[in-house]
Amino acid sequence: MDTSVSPATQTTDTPSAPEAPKVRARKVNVFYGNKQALFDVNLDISDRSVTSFIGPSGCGKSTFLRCINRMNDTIDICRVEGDIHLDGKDIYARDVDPVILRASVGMVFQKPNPFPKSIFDNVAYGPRIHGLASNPEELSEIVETSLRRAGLWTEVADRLDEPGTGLSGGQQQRLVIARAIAVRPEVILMDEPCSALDPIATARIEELIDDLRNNYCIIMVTHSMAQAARVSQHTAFFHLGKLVEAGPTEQIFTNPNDKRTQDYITGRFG
Amino acid sequence: MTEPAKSLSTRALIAASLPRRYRAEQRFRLYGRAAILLAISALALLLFSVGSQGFSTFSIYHFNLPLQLDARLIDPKNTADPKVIAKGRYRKLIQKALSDAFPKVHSRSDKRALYALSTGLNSVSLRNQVVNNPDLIGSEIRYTAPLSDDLDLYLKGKITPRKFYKGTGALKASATNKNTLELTGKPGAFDTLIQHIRQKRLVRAERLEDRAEKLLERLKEARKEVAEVQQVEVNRLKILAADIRQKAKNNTIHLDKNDPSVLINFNQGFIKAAELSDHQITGLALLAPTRLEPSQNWRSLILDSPERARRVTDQQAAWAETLLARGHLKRSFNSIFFTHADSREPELAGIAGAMVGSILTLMATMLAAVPIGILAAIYLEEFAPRNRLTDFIEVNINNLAAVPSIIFGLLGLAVFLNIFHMPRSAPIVGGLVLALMTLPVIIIASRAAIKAVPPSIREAALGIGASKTQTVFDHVLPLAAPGILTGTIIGLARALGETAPLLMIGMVAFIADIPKSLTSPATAMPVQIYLWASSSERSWESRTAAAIIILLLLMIVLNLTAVFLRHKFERRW
Ligand SMILES: Nc1ncnc2c1ncn2[C@@H]1O[C@H](COP(=O)(O)OP(=O)(O)OP(=O)(O)O)[C@@H](O)[C@H]1O
Ligand SMILES: [Mg+2]
Repeated sequence: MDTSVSPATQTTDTPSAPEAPKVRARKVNVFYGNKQALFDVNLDISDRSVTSFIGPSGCGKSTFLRCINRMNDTIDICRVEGDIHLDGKDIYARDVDPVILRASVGMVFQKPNPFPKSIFDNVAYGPRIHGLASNPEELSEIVETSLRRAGLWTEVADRLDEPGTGLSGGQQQRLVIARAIAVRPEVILMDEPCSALDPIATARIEELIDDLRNNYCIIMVTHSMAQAARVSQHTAFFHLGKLVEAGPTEQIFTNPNDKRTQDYITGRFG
Repeated sequence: MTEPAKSLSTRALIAASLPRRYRAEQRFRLYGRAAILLAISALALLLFSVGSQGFSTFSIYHFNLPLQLDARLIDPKNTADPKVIAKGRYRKLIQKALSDAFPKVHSRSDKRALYALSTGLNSVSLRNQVVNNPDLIGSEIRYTAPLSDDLDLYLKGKITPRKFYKGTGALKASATNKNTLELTGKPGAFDTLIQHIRQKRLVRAERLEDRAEKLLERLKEARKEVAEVQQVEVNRLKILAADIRQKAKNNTIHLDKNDPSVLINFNQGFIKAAELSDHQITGLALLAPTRLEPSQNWRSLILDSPERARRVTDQQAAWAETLLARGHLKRSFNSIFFTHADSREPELAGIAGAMVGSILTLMATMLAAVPIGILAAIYLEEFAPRNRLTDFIEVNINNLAAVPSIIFGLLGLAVFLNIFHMPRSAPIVGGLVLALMTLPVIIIASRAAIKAVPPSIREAALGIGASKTQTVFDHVLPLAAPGILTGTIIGLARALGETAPLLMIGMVAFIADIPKSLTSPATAMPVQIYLWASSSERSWESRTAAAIIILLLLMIVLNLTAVFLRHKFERRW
């Protein structure tokens, strides 16, 4: 399915796509106080695939990612302009509640941040507050399937009541992923999910992402070109707050349109 | 390349500076230890001085005296009516019990002095005892009320040391007139006593001379008219001192009003020496000996402080000593101090009223300040927008934390008493005033604790769709709880020790009942301490110290709770 026509493109007039994009951003400008961090970003992101954002540090990857689940709302000085649509609906519309939005757009952060509670409660918290389980058995089932999908079940099955903070870094990151998928999101945002992990843990997470791709729309920020090439089907390159180029990963890595993309990928700056 | 050489010189540089750095570190440690030592010794000094003063209050001398519940004085017509029984002449009964112990006391003034051994207020507890149990009427009971505070202090040796010297050789007594006895012992029998008196006289003479010297010093700088007056005083002191020195040399010593009292305990009597030589004493029989026959078994009691300088007369001391010897006085745990409210009589005063008052006040403070403080902190930290208004509020909260507490008292007086007409002296008002005072402390501590919760926890919760409130109450608050609790308890401990604002709203009154509700008149422990500390009688001193001990214990309990809760709720993240 990677070889299908790319729906991710920078242009405003999208070519006839087989599928409508999951996330669609138009003329997104983000300001931190007076400082503008993103300039006129237009981007379509397709469902059931992995899209990676690459670009030098400070170019606005995280900022854009956090626009998609309105996490930027929690920063007082942050102001977002433009349209972002999820399944064709404007997520910045007045009647959209960020709480509901975030339940369907999950997020995994750069540093694993489990709650200082038991492993079980970490995963169960989301389903509990959203009322996804009607009884304790159902809740345990959700916890188990989430942990299984995150590839952590076998390691923690017999110690679900131990604190989540007692796990290793890689395990914590998978726990956090399990926590995110426990609320059955449609989109999962990952901000450098492997930057704090060793190669083996990274490989496991990458495997997991590849696996999750079949059911979710995954958007990932990464600093590793190799990782972007390995796991993502689409890639978007940001530079100085602007989206320079976006397209199928293969094309971006082998035949970029823009010189800056070429330079960045070949390591000439960044 | 230059790299290795450079790193070598760097290493040398570091090595050269190393001793200096270690010395600095050592110095710092030394300062730290010195500071801690200083703090500990200051604390030890405080505890020691308070402890040594206050512990004597925890035990007290009680009577253990047979008392006839004479029906004629309680219920002469045998009505068995509680109202009649309540009007019985219990004070008279107590006085009779004392008279029975010393039947030879006749004169009115002597009787009054004897009855002063037990405060008149004791009749109240005796009445209650009889009213609650009328069957006792007509029987003999044990009278167990506390001894008068002055006598209690005397027996504890706090008024003047009670020094007994065992007599040597037989002592012979003969009556010279009605109340005067002549005691004769073997030559030298009274040498120690005489030595002691002489010693004291010399000390007194020295003190007078010292004073004369000091006056002379000052005289040089004084104006002429003043100098003349002072010269007269110096001369007077010098003559006085010389006279005392002269008198100290005499073989026969006439005890005067500035000398210690010498009491001879002989055949169960007490003779107060007026004149003594090495083998003979003449003196007044404070308590007549049972027999005048010679006896080996005698001892002398020297009370260094002269009689006119203390509140216990020699006569009363003799009575107390006799009661003690007979087993009619017992030293035991002072339960009154822990079960009674304040009283005019030190022996009947307790800390319980103030303690209950403090607890009620603190409860009101807690109920008002803790929820408001914590919720305000949560709102300001998590929900309020950052703008001029919130900055202004923040500055004001910090200022309020530093406002002297008496100002809060004035505010309470103006608002709660004058505008809202709440009752004076009530724990509810005290609690509200202290709550105003504690609020800023709780808010600041809680905000700091909330701020210290890592933002990643908030992001995690928000990221899976928790609302702001859910994030705060499910995740932030549990993590901030130890800090919030510590701050809150420290604030409350401060409120517990606060005096000034309570003075303003009338919690300083004399309150003889244990408060029953948040609106009944009450006082608080620190105010009670303040009240007792400003009373002049000696016995209040030790009660003040005892109250301080209890207040400190309460503080320790509160602070230990804070430590315990912090450990219990502390979590890693
Ligand atoms: N909370 C904030 N307040 C002010 N400016 C911010 C804030 N967060 C980000 N910025 C600014 O916005 C710009 C983009 O930041 P962003 O975090 O999106 O970069 P990034 O591409 O994720 O970088 P990195 O790869 O280092 O994570 C940067 O210049 C940064 O300084
Ligand atoms: Mg980033």
